[in-house]
Formats: sequence, C-alpha cells, structure tokens
Amino acid sequence: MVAQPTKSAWNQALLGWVLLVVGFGILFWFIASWWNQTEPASGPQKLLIGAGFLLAALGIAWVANQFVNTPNPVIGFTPAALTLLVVVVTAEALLRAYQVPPGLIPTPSRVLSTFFAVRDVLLQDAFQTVVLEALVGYLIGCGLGVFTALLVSRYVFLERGLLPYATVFSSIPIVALAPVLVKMVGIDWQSKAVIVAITVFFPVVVNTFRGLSEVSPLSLDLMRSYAAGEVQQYRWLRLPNALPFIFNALKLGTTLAMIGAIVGEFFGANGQGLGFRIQIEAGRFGFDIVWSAIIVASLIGIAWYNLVAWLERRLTGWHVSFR
Amino acid sequence: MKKWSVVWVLAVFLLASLASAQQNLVKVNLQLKWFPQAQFAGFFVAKERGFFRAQGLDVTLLPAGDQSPIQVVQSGAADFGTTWIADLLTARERGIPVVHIAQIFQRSGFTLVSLKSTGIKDLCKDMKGKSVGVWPSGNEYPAVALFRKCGLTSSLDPRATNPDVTAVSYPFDPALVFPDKVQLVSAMTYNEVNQIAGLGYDETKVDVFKLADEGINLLEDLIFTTERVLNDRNFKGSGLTGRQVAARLIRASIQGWNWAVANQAETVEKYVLPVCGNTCKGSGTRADAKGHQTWQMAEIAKLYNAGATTKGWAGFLVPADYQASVRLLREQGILTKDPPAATVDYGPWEAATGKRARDYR
Repeated sequence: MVAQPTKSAWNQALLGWVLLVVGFGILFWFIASWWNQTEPASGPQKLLIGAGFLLAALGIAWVANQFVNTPNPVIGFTPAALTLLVVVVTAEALLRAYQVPPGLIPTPSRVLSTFFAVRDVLLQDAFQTVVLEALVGYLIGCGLGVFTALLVSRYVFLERGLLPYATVFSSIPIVALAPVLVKMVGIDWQSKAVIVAITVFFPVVVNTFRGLSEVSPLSLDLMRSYAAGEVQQYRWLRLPNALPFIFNALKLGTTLAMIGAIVGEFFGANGQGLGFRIQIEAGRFGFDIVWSAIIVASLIGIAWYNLVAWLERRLTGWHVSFR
Repeated sequence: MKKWSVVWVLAVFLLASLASAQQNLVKVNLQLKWFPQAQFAGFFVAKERGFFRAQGLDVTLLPAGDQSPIQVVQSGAADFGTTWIADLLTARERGIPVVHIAQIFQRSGFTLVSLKSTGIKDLCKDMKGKSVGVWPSGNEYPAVALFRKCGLTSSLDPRATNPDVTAVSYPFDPALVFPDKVQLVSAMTYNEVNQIAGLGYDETKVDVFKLADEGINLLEDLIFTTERVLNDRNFKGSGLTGRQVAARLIRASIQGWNWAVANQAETVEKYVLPVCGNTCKGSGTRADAKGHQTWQMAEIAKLYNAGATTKGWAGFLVPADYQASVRLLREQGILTKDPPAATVDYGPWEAATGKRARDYR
C-alpha cells in the first residue's frame, strides 16, 4: 500500500524547500562576499556558515520524505544530490572563511575550474591508466582467474596443492608488490597491467571455485541421471551456478584494478597517467589538479563498477537475489 | 615493605633527574631532503661532535624518502627542514607559510646526463621529442625551468596535450630508466653522476650538462622552517623563542659544515658511513660505500665552498642569487608573482653569526 501524501506532509515538504533555499542563500551569500578576501572571517560569520549548513541539512531531511515513493530513479536521487551540493558548498564557505591555503586544501570552485582547464590532459592520463593499465590487466587477470578456477575445480590435486595459496594471496594487500613489479617489468604501462592482473586474479580464482564447487547435490544427481558428461555438467550446471560468485569477484576487481593501476604509477611512470599526475602535483602542492584527477578516477571507477553490475543483472537475472 | 619503598623512591628520583637532564636540551627535528649520505655531512658532524648539544639542542635528523620535506615541516612532524629554492617558493605561492632561514649550498649541482651516442649536443635544440628522467616531489623544477627556457612543453605541464618532451618519473635510481627509457636523465653532480659511471657509462661515454651552465642556476640545499615555528614565543615549552632555536640550529650547523668540509676523510669515516646504511653505496655503483661517499663529500664541498662561504659568510643567502632564482622562476612561469618579503628571514642567521645581511659585499 502506498501512503497518500497528507496535507501536513505537503506543508512539511514546503517548509523543507524554504529552509533549503534560505540555507543555500546564506552559504552562497557568504561565498560571494568572501570571494576576493584574503583575511579569515570573523567568529559570527563562521557561525553564520554553520547556521546555513544546519538549515540546509534540515531542509533536506524534510524534503527527502517527498521522494520516498518516487519510481523514477533520477528524480529519486534528488535528496542525495542535494546532500552532495550542501557538503560541497559548505566546504567552499569554510575553506574561504578560514583562508586555508590552496596548497593544502583547494576550494571546490578552484578544483572545478582547474578540472575544466586541464581536462584534455586528464583524459589522456585516464586513457593510459584505465584502458591500457587497469582494463588490460583486469581482463587478463579475470580471464586467467576463471580458467584457473575451472582447472582447480576439475582436478583434486590442484585444489589441494594450489587453492590454499590462492586463498591466502587473495587476502593480502598485493598492491604492496607494486614497487617490486615496477622495478622488474619497467616503468611503462605493462608493469601496471601486471600489478592489476595479479591483484584481481586471486579473488576471481577463489570466488569462481566456490561457485563451481558449491553445487546442490540434487542437481548433480539429476545431471548424472540424464547421463550428462563432464562438459555438459559445467555448461549447464556449474558455470551458471558460479556466475553470481564470479560477478562478485568481477565487481570487487574493478575497484582493485583502479587502485593497482594508480598506485603502481606512484613507483615510476612514463610521463602519463592519473597516478603520475597525482604524484607529481601532490609533490608540488598542486592539489587542485590532484583533486581533479581523483574526480576523474572516481567517475570512471563508478561507471566501470556499474557496467559490470549491469552485465550481472543481464546474465544472472534468474538468480534468487534479483527475483 | 620498607626496603622496597626506599628502592621505589630512589628509582623515581633517578628517573626524574634523568628526565630533567633531558629537559635542558631542546628537542628539535630536522627533516633532511633525502636518505642519509654525505650531502648532509655537516648536520651529522654537528650532531655527533656535540655542536648541537653545545647550543642546548637535542636534534633528531629525519631521513626522507620521496616525500616533500615541506609537507613534513608544514604538518609539524619536523620543526626545520632542508630543501631546494624552487620547491620552497612554489609552496609559498600556494599559501604554505614556509620561511628560508639559511643557505647551505651556494651552487647548483643539478645536471642532465645523456649518452654521447644519442647525439645530444645542445639541450635546447636537441631535446624536442626526447624523454627526460625526472624525480617527483618538487625535484623536477630545474628540469621544468630548462624546458620552459628552451620554449618546450613537457608532460609535467598539465595543460600540454601534445608535449615536446616526455618527462618520465621514477624512484630516483637512474638504472631504472637510463639509458633504455630516457635519453636524458637527472643527475646530481655529487650522486647520480657517479652512479651512472657505475652502470658502465663513464665520462668517455656520456655528456654531463650542468644546468647552471644553461642559465638554470637554482639554489639548492637550504634550511627552512615555518612562520609558526619562527614566531613561537616559547618553543616546545623550552623558554626559548622559535627564532632563538633557529639561530642556535644555524650556528651549530655552520660549525658542523665547516668542520666536515675541512676534515672530509674523517667525516666520511666517522660520521657519514655509520649512519648512511644501505644508501651509502648509491645504486649501480661499482665503487664501495666508502668510495662513493668520499667522492660525494668532495663534490658536496665544492657546492658548499663557493660564493658567500668563501668570504666567510657560510649559510648566507646572497640577495642577488635569491633574486636571480626568483627572476628565473618568474620568467619561466613557475611562479606567477614575486614571493612575499616574509619568505626569507635573515634574523636567525644574523643572530647566529653576528653579521648583518646588509653588510654583504
């Protein structure tokens, strides 16, 4: 049953919008008045920023109720978007009020304008980091991982001899190997792809193996009673059963791949890449560019994760968790 | 029971007296720019020969990896630090209140090295399309200044989509990139030049381009601190002001440097080799640790014994040199405005030496 909006709820939402506008008004007014100031703001002005933030936050809390039953996901996202906006605007106001030097924390507006100015180079960096390093490493690592898991689930001696190491390795921070691998393989993108491949490999092996082996005995009996061969068992029972497990590892892998590629570049890079940019600019206090690179990396990371999640829904829509 | 209480009282008394003996010395952290090596010989001498202690300071010398000394000092983890002028001035422009208080090296030791076989004869003319190895964390500025001076863009410039020069970053060991990945590699006269020779490329096979000869004479190792430390009325509860501590640190450091440069063999043997551990050797060097550090000490002495030092003004930042560094960085667009006057404070150096900055001729 869907709750009908009552009159009081409407009034509350209206009040919420008013509070939101007032809160944002205060924050924006302060930012505008402090745009070219070089002195820290006075105590009452800082209190005013706090008041603006509280009003806006309270406004969101009341407005959010309006969106509880919204079917459209884009409109339903409004409260979350407003939260982000409040946090960013408050950060801008506070950084200006306290006159925090841009060499420590740049204001969001500075980050955005820098982001716009350097977007071409950041896109080039992202191509190297994401496509060459993270994606290539990810595909190799995941491919090898699934293949290894297939072998391990088929041959008991591999399960006994190899799987324990995969389990151990999947729980240690492999990214710590980055400096070693960069030294071994060289500073070009290949070394980072190797780091990524190794990082994503072990979780994929472990998860895929679990999916392949944790099959319902009843289903196995059924397959055997149909005289299904080994290959058919894998094709029609084990692999489908493993898909949710595999996708768990694949989703985890997207994050690991981005971490591996970026951190790998900290230990040597050929003049390109998001990690290279972050390292160089952090060393010269260009944190507006560092933050821009972080934004790019985050957006790509989110998009990639959601792409895999979308594939998962397409391929495992039959699974109990989606029904 | 009674016997034990006597022991306790004695123990407490002993601890208290030890603590007060420690308290007489002011604890100071000095962040070095790099791993322990002869580059910092004067500081090791000042510590081990008791020059710091004679000034009432208990100085801890912190080694650096590839993080910026400015970040360490700014965060308060160290009170003073050593770094290069471009690093200091760009940090200052980004709003970090660091202050230059003493200039240890009077000359630049930054070079770019290339194999003779690559045919690079003139840096400005021949650098386009080449890869150059640079160190991150604020050590890339001399190279950046050179690129800009030659009118070349580089991949260090976040606004250049199709850079003329590819700057390759690597963790300081030239063997990682030279000569396979880069045609030119950063090298300090006192360290990497010898490491490259150790890789089998001695002076018959390489050209060493001193950036000072190319008009990029940016000042290097200097002592800096923050305005917060300098303006501290009571430095860590010692009763001394931040300026007094800075003056004492400078006085002992200069004493240490003068001793180190005058007694190089003994300095290397007694004060450098025991502390420099596995960084003594310098990677890729055929020479042993002692050989490398002895050679480094001699090269460092050349950078220290120059300019103002030869006139008896060790540690002095010559205003003309400072202005030249600022002008160069402004011309190359690395600085967008002149640093504020508070960036350099001669007060502690004057208090340490009894000289007046304006008397320098």
